[in-house]
Parts: sequence; C-alpha cells; structure tokens
Amino acid sequence: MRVTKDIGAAFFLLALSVIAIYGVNDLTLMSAVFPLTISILLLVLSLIYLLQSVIKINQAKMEFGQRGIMLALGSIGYIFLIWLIGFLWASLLFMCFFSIILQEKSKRNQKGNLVKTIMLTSFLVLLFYLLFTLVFHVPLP
Amino acid sequence: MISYIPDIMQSLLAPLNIFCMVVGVLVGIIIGALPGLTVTMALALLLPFTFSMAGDTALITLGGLYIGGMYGGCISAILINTPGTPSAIATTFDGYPLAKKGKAIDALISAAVSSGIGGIIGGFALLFLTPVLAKLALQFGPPEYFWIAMLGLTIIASLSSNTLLKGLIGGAVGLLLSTIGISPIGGESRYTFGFPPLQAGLELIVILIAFFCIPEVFEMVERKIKKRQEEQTPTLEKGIVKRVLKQVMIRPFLLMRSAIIGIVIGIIPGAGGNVAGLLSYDAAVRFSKRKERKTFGKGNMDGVIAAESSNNAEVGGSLVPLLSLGIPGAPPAAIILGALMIQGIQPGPNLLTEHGALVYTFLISFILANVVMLVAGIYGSAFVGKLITMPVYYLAPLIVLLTVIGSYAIRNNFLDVIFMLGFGLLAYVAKKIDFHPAPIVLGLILGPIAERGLAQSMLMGKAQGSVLEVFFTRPISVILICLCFLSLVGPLLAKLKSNKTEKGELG
Amino acid sequence: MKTTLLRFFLVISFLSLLVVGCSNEKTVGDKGGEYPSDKITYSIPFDPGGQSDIEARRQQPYLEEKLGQQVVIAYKPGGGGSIGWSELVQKKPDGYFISGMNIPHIILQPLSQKDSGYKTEEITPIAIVQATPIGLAVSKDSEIDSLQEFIEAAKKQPGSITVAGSGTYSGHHLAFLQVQELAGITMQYIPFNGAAPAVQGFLGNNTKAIMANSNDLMKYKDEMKILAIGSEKTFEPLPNVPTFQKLGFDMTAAIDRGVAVPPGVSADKIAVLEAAFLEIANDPAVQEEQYKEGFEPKAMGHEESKKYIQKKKEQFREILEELDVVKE
Repeated sequence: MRVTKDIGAAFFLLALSVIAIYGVNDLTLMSAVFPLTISILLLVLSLIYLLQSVIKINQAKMEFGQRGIMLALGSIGYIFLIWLIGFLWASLLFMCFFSIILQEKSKRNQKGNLVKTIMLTSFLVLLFYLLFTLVFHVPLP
Repeated sequence: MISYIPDIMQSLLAPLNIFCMVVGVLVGIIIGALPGLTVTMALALLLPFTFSMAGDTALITLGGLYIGGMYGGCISAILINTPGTPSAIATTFDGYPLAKKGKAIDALISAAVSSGIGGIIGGFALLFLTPVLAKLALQFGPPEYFWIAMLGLTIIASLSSNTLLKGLIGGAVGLLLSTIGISPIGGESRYTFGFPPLQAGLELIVILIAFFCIPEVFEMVERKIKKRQEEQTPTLEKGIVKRVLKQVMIRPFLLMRSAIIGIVIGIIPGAGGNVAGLLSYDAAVRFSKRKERKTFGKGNMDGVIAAESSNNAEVGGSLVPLLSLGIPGAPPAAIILGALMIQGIQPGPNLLTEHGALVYTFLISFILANVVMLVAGIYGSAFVGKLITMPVYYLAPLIVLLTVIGSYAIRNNFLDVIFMLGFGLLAYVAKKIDFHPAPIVLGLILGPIAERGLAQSMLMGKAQGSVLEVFFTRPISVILICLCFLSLVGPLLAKLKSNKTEKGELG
Repeated sequence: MKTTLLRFFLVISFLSLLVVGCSNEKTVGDKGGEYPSDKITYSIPFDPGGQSDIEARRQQPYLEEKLGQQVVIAYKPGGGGSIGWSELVQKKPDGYFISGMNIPHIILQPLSQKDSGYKTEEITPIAIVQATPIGLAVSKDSEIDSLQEFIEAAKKQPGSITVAGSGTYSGHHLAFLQVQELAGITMQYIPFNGAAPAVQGFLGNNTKAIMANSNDLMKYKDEMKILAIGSEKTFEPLPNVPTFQKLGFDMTAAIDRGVAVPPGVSADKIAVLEAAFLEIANDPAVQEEQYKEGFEPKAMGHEESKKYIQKKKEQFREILEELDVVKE
C-alpha cells in the first residue's frame, strides 16, 4: 500500500490531536474542556479520514511545481535575511533574485534585461519602503 | 435633529471637511487593499493626527477611513485571493474565481456598488434606528454569542459540500488553533509550551494571509505564465459600469438581507465584519435557487454582492453601541472611541444630548462617505483590475514582500512574520491535499466566541440553578437555535430530494 | 534618448537607496550630552484607543516639553499586557525605552502564569500617576440598596449572585475574591474579556452585579446603583458612594496606571523621568481632567511605587495561594 498524500495527512492530524489531548494535562477543568472536546473530535475525524483514504486508492498524486518550491525556499531564506541584514537590503536582494530567476529562459537572455529588472525591482522596493515608513508610519521588521 | 441642521450644513460644506472625507476614504481604500494592514490599523495610524483637528473634522476623517478600509479589503480579495481585511474573507469565495475567469473588473465594480449601498443602508439605520438597535444589542448575552458562533460553524457544512469531512477537520483544526493562549475563563495559558509570546495566541490576520495568500502566490508561479495571462486579463468594455450596476440593482432583496445581517452583527460588540460577511454569504447560498447553488464558489456575482454589502453595513452597526452606550461594536469603533475621548467627548448614554450637532454631522457625513467610496470604487476598479496583469515574476515576490510587512505591522512582532510563512507553507501543502482554508479560518475566528459564550453561560446557569434554562429559553437564543437547525438540516434535505429525483428519473 | 533616461533613473534610485539605507538609524541612545539626548520610545502594551493609550497621549505634549525630546508612542499589544512587558524587561536599560505599566496586572500575571515572560521585580517603576478605583454595583432596578443587603442576599442563596468582571486573576477578579472572603459569602464570578464587554453583559441583565472601573461607574451611574468603591478615601467624583473600608471591610481595590523602565537603568536617569512624570501628575489642570473622566490622580514616585507594588504583591499572593494558583 503506497503512502498517498491523504494517508500522510491523516497521520499528521492524528498526531496533532494526540498532542492536543496531552497538552491540556495540567489545566483546570474550565480551561481544558473546550480544547479537549475539540481534540477528541479531531481524533475521531482523523481516524475516519484515515480509514477513508486507505479504502479508496485512486487519488491524484501531489504535484509540486519546480518554481513553487523555489519560491517557497526562497521566502524562508528571505525571512532569515531580514533578521540578518535588515528589511531594506533583504527585500532588495529577494526581489531582484526572484524577478530574474522566475522569468522564462527566453526572456532572460534578452539584451539589457538584467539591468532593467534590477532597476524596476529596486524602484518598487524603494517605493513601498518609503510609502510605508514615511507616509503610513508603519513599523517595519 | 432638525434644530441642528444649520450647524450640520456648515460642518459638511466646509472645504476642509470635504477634503478630509475624500482623503480619508481614498487612504482607507488603499490601506484596506493591502493585505495585512487592517482598518483598525489604519485608524490607529491616523489617530495622532486627529488631536490637532476640530471634533467634526476628526470624526469625518475617521469615518471616511473606516468605510474606505472596509471596501478596500475586497480589492486584494478579488485580485489575489487575500482578504485585505478580515471582513473580506467571504468576498474571496466568489470574487477570486471571477477574477480567474477574466471578470475581475466586474467583480470590483459590483463590490464597490454593493459596499456603497450596504454602507448607506447601514448609515441610515445608524441615523434613525440607534435607540432601538442599542436596546437590541444589549439583549445579546453569553448564550446568544454562543449560538451565533454555532451558526457560523454550520456554514462550514455549506462551504465544503463536496469534501465535508475535510471541511470538518479544517474547522476542528481552526478551533484548536484558537485555543492557543490564555483561556478566557480559566485564565491559564494553553499550548504555549513555555513560550511567552504565544500567550497572546495566534493573530488572525497573520493566519489569514498565511492561508489565503501564500498558497496562491506559490501556485501562481507554478502555472505556465502565458496560459495564466490569457485566462486572467480582465475585459474592459464600454458600458461595463452600467451593465454591472444593473446586475446588482436587480437584486434588491439580496442587498437588503445582506445589509440587515451586517447591521445586526455589527451592533453585537465582539462580532465584526468578518462574521457579517460570512453569514451573509451563507444566507445568499441558502436562499438561492437550487440550480444556482452549485455555482457558488466558482464565480457567482451574488456571493460578492452579499459579502460586500453586509460588511459595509456592519460599519454602521458597529457604531450604534458606540454612540448610544459608549461600547464599541468592533475594534475600529474602539479607536474612534479613543479619538472621541481625546477630544474630550465621552460617548455614553448622554452623548446625543450633550453633543448632538457633532454626532449628527458625523452620521450624515458617514452616509456621504459611502457615496464617495462608491464612486471611487467604480472608477478606480478599471485601473486596479489591470494591476494583476503585471508579470508574475514581479508580482509574486512583491506580494511576499507585502505579506511580510503586513504580518509584522499588526503587532510589531517579528514572530508573526515567521508564523505567517510557516503556516503559509503548511497551507500550501494542505491545498494540494484538497483542504480548503476557509473552514480553518472560520474555526479560528469563532472559537473564542463560542468558548467564551459557552463558559459564561454555564457559569450563569450554575448560579441560576439551571444550565438548560440559560441556553434554551431566551428569545433571541431560540431564534438562533432554529437558524442553526435549519442551517444543518437544509442541505441534507436538499440532498435527499435530489437523490429522490435522480432515482425517479432512473426508475 | 531612452537609455540615458533609464540610466539616469537607475543612478537616482541607487543613490537614494544608499541614503535611505544608511540613514536608517537603528541605534537610539546617548548622543553625548545631557540625558535625554535622543527621542524616547513610549510603548503601550495594549491596543491603540484604549485607556492606557489615552493616558499616554495626554502626557505626551507635557513630556516632550519637559524632556526636550520627541516622545514616540508605540504599541505592543497581547496577553493582557504580558507581551509588552516581556519585551520591556529585555530592552537595553539606556533610558530611551519606557513602557506603560498597570497594577495589578504586572503583579498578578507572573504570579498566576508560568510563562508570562517577565517577573514583577524586573519592572522598574518610574511613577504611578493614576488610580481607577474598582466598585461594586447592581442594576438600578434591583431590590438591593446597600452592600449590607447585598451580603444578606448572597447568604440567603449562596452562589446565586452573578458578578461580571474583566478577566480572570485580574484586578476585578481579585476584588471579587476579597469581598467574598471578608464577607464570608459565595458568589459566582463571570469573567468577560474586557471592561466594555463586562459592562455590556451587565447592562443586558446577564449578571446581577458588576465589578467595574470608576470611569465606567461614572459613565453609567444612571443605570446602576453603586454599592461600594475600593478607593482608600471617599472618591471625589462619587462622593455619596461609601468606600469598602468605611463599611468595615479592610480592602482596597483599584487599577493603577504608571510608567516603567527595564531593570538596570541608572538612578540619575530614573530621577529625570520621575521628575517629569510627577510634574505632570501634580499639574492641577491634568488632575481636574482626571476627576472629570472618573479617575483618581496619583503622584507616586519611584521609591513609593516600588513599596506599593511589593505590598500589593504580598496581599495578592495570600489570596492566590488559598486558591492554589500561585506558579511563581
């Protein structure tokens, strides 16, 4: 029996509900009632889910586009970068990098494309940065 | 009110006030449209500026901002499936599919019109019905809150008709997530695993962005660029405004019903625009003809109309308890309360007698602000709708950028940014497995309301000697219970009926 | 032509980025010279528009004048204030970061939660400038007219009188517990998540009584009968309401607001801040405003506040220990 995405998800949810049930261990009745009820409910539902997914075998496989994963990993890196070198520079790097990477190969080799991209992204980042700090006074990470 | 008319006219016609109103509405729309920046935040940002203003100018500006912001949320909801404010959650259900079909501008215009009309209805209710509505607001006690939360949860059933199990699981997960933090009754921290910042629980906006926006952004990059642009370029024909206007205006019942739902939810302190939009969307689905029902969630304009008109009507509703009792009906109203107090005005039972002219000026300007918003929305839609034709490789990172700013700005907490991305990735995976984000978010929003209502009512019952009496004998509770019942039983009956007819056709 | 324009554009953007990026001073602090020599951040651990925010804004212009520097108000809401205070105690003690402080919150939170994120002693008080006495009230249609009658009613039917209040293990809750113990009665406390929801629940006749803040009592005094109030002496704006102490109950109940800094700030900086805040607190115009809104102005300095907090902590610890709640 192959491990399909549904089975994996069901196990994940089961684990979640177990952790939830355990987590209310040292709470008084008043605090514990609600989460306990929900976690038990979740447990039951996950079991049903598990059964359902074992019985049915024809499910589509989970597809991940290559680009999607790249952006995902890149975003994690981006957050990390913000922590390291500050919001402005991290945003610049992130934007420039991805604007270039995500373009289709044919476009990428066009003349002057690189420059244009960097310029445009810098402009956008700068615009938003100024907009938020000066105009809106929104605190930035 | 008649005696105040000269003062009111003077206030409303003052150029500064008119300017402030328009600016307020426009700024509100922009802030509302940016995911992560909420109406409450916008008002909070403007609050310091209002100190130096006269009372009426301050109120007019804030009112405009409130209205604009409520509408603005639908822009990003329709264009990138991210509610710009929580009140626009329900707008994503049909708004985004419409955009995917190339009808983004249609959706934006109808949202503008519905919001405007809903807001105007709300404004009139506020103007004329405040005393009545205020009394109604006080009738909502803990048991009623509990049943409203239950009603909200039954929506999960109608949202996830195909994959009911997954919808229920989503709702349960959402409810569970809402319990993180200090328990409302017991006062102890739950699921914080010794991590102090979790004491405050998860921030709704962060989860909203994480669940609605991030998966969409990543999927956006995955699809073939050419194909996407083909399918999504919005059409802009001449006379589109007139056409959409007609589409909206032939549904007066829909508008009225949604607006009323919005107003009622609004007057209940603690239930805000998000609940209003969702309940009204649900009502639209239920009251539609059976053939139409399947089209909801795939781009039915009625869904957008319902959601948007009720969330703007809610604005008017939320001001009712504020102006009559001094109790804000929603977080943005709390900011307006603060603004009033700094001006030296104490909202409370005596507000109208002591500051009548000011209050009436505010109320009328409120209605006018809706008109401004309507116009701005209609004519801005064309321009805004084109924005999504921006190439993906710019758009996607830009949206990520915005989400980072937004999730940080809520609480000045970098942890929220990490949470957002973490949950966002989780949601991205979940979407691949067919888990819809809406039930989870519903659980998250309604969890606290349900729990508080439940616990408080039980305590009340304990004191009275009968818990059942508390839950089931109060008039409003009874109405709500019936609605819940209908809500649950309705779809089941419908399914049974359709099965019967199928059988009949076969046999 | 086009390329030159583009190049021009590029250069300008780049230069401005550099300027912005470099001038983004993240370090605030002593720029040499007398303290304060740079802007001060005043953090509010609650949502904007709330009472703490209003107080801070009331103080802001005076502060900027007296300290000669810009005072920037920031918000760090969450956990009933605990998020803001956990952040406070981790900030550098350079005197440029101050925070609003609320008693009994900063005492009760570490006592009753194992992960509040800070300890009461870490919060260094500068001054306490406002007190909001807590009072007990019943509906104006109630048959109860005095605290004595209230207690009798409670004794007749133990656990039947519902009292609304804001929060669990909060100022209201503790006041409720104190009344229960001193009068020897049993009532039912119904927590709400905030003063406004509590008032709303009470006005809707969902509870028979309420523990409310003095400013709310003032606002709604026509809708309720106020039985007693927790200030030490008669509360000026409500002169006809007896204090708990006058009625023979040895308790005071109030929510106090003040300002604090992280642990380790030097004594001279504390003195500068203390002087500024006390001056504001003693200003007759400010005091009159406070009374009008239903608050009691206070002017306790650094040392006095420290002692007050310590005394309150011992009081509360006793009560909480009886309930077996203490986690410290």
